Amino acid sequence: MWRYAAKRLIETILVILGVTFLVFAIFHLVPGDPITVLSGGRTLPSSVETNLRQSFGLDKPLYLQYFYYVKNIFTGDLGMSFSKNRPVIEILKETYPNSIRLAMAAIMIETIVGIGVGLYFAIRRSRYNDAIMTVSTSLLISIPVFWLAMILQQIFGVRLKWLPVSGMGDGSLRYYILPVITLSSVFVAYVAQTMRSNMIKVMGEDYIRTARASGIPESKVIRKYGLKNAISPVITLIGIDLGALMGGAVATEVIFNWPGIGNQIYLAILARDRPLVMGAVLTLVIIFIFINFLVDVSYSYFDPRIRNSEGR
Amino acid sequence: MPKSEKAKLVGESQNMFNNKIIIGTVMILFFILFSVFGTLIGPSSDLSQDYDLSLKPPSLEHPFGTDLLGRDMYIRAVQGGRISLLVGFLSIIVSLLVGLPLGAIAGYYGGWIDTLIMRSADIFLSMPTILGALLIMALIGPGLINILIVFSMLGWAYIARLFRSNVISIKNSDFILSARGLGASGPRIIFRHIAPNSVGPVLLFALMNIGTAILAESVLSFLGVGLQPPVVSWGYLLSESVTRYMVAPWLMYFPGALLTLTVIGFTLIGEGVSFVFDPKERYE
Amino acid sequence: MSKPLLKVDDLSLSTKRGKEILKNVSLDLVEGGSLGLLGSSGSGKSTLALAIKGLTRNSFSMSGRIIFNGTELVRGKIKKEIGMIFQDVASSINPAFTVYDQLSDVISESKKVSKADARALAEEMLINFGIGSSSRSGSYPHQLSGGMKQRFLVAMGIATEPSLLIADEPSSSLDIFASTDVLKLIDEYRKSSGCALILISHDLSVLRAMVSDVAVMDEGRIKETGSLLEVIDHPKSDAAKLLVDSELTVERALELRLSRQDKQADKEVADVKSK
Repeated sequence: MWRYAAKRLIETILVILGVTFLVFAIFHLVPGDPITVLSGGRTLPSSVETNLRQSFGLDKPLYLQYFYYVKNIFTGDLGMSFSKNRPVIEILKETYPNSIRLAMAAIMIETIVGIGVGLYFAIRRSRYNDAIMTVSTSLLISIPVFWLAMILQQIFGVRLKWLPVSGMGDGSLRYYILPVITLSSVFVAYVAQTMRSNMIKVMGEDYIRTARASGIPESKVIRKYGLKNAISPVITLIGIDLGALMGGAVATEVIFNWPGIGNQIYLAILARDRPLVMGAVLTLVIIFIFINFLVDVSYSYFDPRIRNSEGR
Repeated sequence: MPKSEKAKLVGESQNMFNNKIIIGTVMILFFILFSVFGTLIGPSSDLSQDYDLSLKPPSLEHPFGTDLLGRDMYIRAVQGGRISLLVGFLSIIVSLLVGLPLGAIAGYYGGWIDTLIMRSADIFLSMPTILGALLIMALIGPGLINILIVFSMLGWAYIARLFRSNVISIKNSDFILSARGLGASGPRIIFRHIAPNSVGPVLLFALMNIGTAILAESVLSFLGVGLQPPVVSWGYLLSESVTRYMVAPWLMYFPGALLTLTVIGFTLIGEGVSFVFDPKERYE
Repeated sequence: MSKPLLKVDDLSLSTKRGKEILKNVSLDLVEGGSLGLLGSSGSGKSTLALAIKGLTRNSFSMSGRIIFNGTELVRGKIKKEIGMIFQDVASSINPAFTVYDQLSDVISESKKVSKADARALAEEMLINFGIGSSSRSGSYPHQLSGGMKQRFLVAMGIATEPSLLIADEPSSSLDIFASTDVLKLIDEYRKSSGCALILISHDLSVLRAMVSDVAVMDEGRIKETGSLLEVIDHPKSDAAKLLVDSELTVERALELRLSRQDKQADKEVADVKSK
C-alpha cells in the first residue's frame, strides 16, 4: 500500500503544480497588466505597487515569475488583502477553522445518516421503500443548496423562530443546525443512494453466497462481509464531498452569515479584493486535491486488488 | 450464478421509456415551453417599473408578485428561465466542442499527445466545479461569455476522457483497419468512422449534465460572479431576493422552485437513462 | 434398504417470468453414497445443487420437496450438514479479506470455538491444502493461483464437516495436475468422514474416478439414472448417449449434426473436406 501511496503522492503534487500553473497562465492571459488584475482596478500607493512588482518578480522573465509565484504560495505568502489591509494568510488562518468545523459536522451527519439510510433501504426492499428512496434522493440532489438554505431560514428561523439564522453566535450547537442540514442535504442523498445500490450489488455477488453457504449467520454476512465490500465507493464519495463542502459552503455561509472561508470569498469578490479571493480559493483547491489523494490511498485499504495494479 | 443466467437478465427488455425518463422529459418540456411562451400567457407582458407597485405579494395581476422596482416577477421569471436554460445547454455544447476533438485526438494518436491531453484533463478534473469557476471568474470577470468559457474549461475533461476510451476501444477494430488500408487519413477516419460509433454514450452523458450546468450557473450568479443584468437568470433573481426576502419571500419562492423543478427534471432523465443501461436493480 | 440421506421429490423450479429451470426432478442418495450429475451447460445441474443447499433466489417459484436426514429443507435455511464447493473461482471468494480470515470465520461459526482457536485451525487446514505457509500470513485471494483458489473453496466447503458434500465442477477450470489435487482433497475428506458426495461435472473421466452412480440431466430434467458403469456402457437416453460419447472428434461431431439434418453442418462438412 505504501508504494501505491508514494506514486499517488507524486501525481498529486504534479497536479497541484498544474493548477498553480493554470492560474498563473490565466493571470497573464487576461488583458491588462498583472498588477491591475490583482488590484481589481484600484489605484495603489506606489510603495505597495513597487513591493508587489518585486515579490512577483514582474520585471523578470516569465519562468522566474512562475517560480516566485509557486514559492510564495508554499511559503505561505499569499499577498496582501486590499480590502482589509492585512496579509491574506492571516485572514485565512482566522476564517478556515470555522468552515472546517461546519464541514466536519456536515460530514458526520452525512456519514451516519447516509450510510444508515442506505443500508436500511438496501436490506428492507419493497416497492414502497424503493419509491420513497428514489423520490427523496432525486429531490435532495436537485435542490440548489442556497435555495434550501433560504427556505430553511424562512421556515425555522423567521416563521417558527426556533433556530438562529445568522452567524456562529457563541458557537453553541443551535447555530450549527440549519447550516449543517443545508450543507449535508445533497450529499446525504448521494451517500445513501450509493450505499444502497452498492450494497444491493454486493449482496448479490457469488462470494456472499459462499459465505452464507458456509453457515455464517446473515447478520454477520451483512455486517462484516457485505459492508466492507460495499463501502469503498461510499468512502470515496465522502472524501470528494469534503472538498465539495468547502466549495459549496460558499453559498450556505453567505446566507447564514457564517464567518467561514466561503463567506470571506464572497465578501472579497464584492470588494474586488483579488489577492484574498485567489489566496482563499487556491488554498481550498489545493486542500481538495490533497484530500482526494488521501481518499484514493485509503481506497486501496478496502480493496487490496488496487494496491498492485497500475493506473486508475 | 452461472454466467448464462446473468447475461439473460441484463439483456432483458430495457424499457427505453421507463417512468423516470418520461416524467423528467415532461418536466423539462414544460419549463422550456414556459420560458419560451410564458410571456404570451401571462396577464401583462411589459416589464415597466412602477414604484407604487414595489414589493407587492402575488396577486391576479402579478402572479409571482413584484420586485423592488415594481416589475412583474412572473415575466422576470420567464425571462430568467430562458437564460438559465440557454446557458445550461450552451455550456454543455461548448464543453462538447472542446472535449470531443481533444478526446478523439488523444485516443486516436496516443503517445505523448495522449499523455499531454490526459494530464491536462487531470488538472481540470481535480478542481471542484464551483471553486474552479470562482477562481477563474475572479480573474476574468463576470458575464455570459466568461461563464461559457469557464464551464467549457471545467467540463471538457470528463467528456474528453469518456470519448477517448470509446475511441481507443474502437480504433483497432476491423472496419477501421480496413479504412486505413484503403488509404484514409487520420482526421477523416476519426470523423466518418470512429466518431459516429462512439459518440453516443458521451452525448448521453453530456445531456445528463445540463442540469448540473444550470445549477452551477445559478450558484455563480447568486454569488454575483455569474451573469449580470440585463442578462438575468433564475440564479440572479435569487441573488436579488437575499436582502429582501424577509419582507418579500415570493421573490425567493418562485425562481427557486422553478429552478429546483427544472433540475429535478434533468436529474430524473439522467437517472432513468442510466437505469436503462445498468439495471442491476432489477435483480430481485 | 437404508433410508436415504437425501431425497429430492418431484422438484420443479421456475423463474419469476415462468421459465422452467428444473422439471420434476427426483433422486435419492444414501449415507456415504456418491452421485455424479452429468449434463451439458444449461441443463440445470448447478441450479439443482443450489436448490439442495437452499440457495436459490427468492424470486424463483418452487414446487416439490427436498428431504435431508428426515427433515424437509426450507429454502433460505442453510444446513451446515450440507457443504458446497462452488464452481466459479473468480467470483466466489471475497476479494477484500484474506483466505485465513474467511476460513477462520467459517470454522469459528461452525465449531463454536474462540477466534484464536479457529484461526489456528484455519492455518493448519490451509497448510494441509497447500495454500498456507508462514510467509503468506496475509494472503488475499487475488494473490493465489487458480488451483489454490479452488482448493480454498474445497476447504470452505468441508470446514463445517458436512455429511453431504456437493461439488460443482471443482476441476473444470484447472489443468490436469491442479484438478487431480483438488479431487484428491475431496476424496480424502470423503474417506475420512464417510460423507455422501454429489459431484457435478461434464467430464466423464472425473466422474469415473469419483462417483459410483450418476444422473444424467438435460433441459432441467433427469433423463437417466443408474450406476456409472451401467450408464456409460449402455446409455439408454439420447442425452446420455450424446454425453457418453466423450471422445468426440470433429468429423464424428459433424456427422452427428448431419444426422439431425442441420443444413449449416452440410456446408461445414464440405468446407472441412475441401481443406
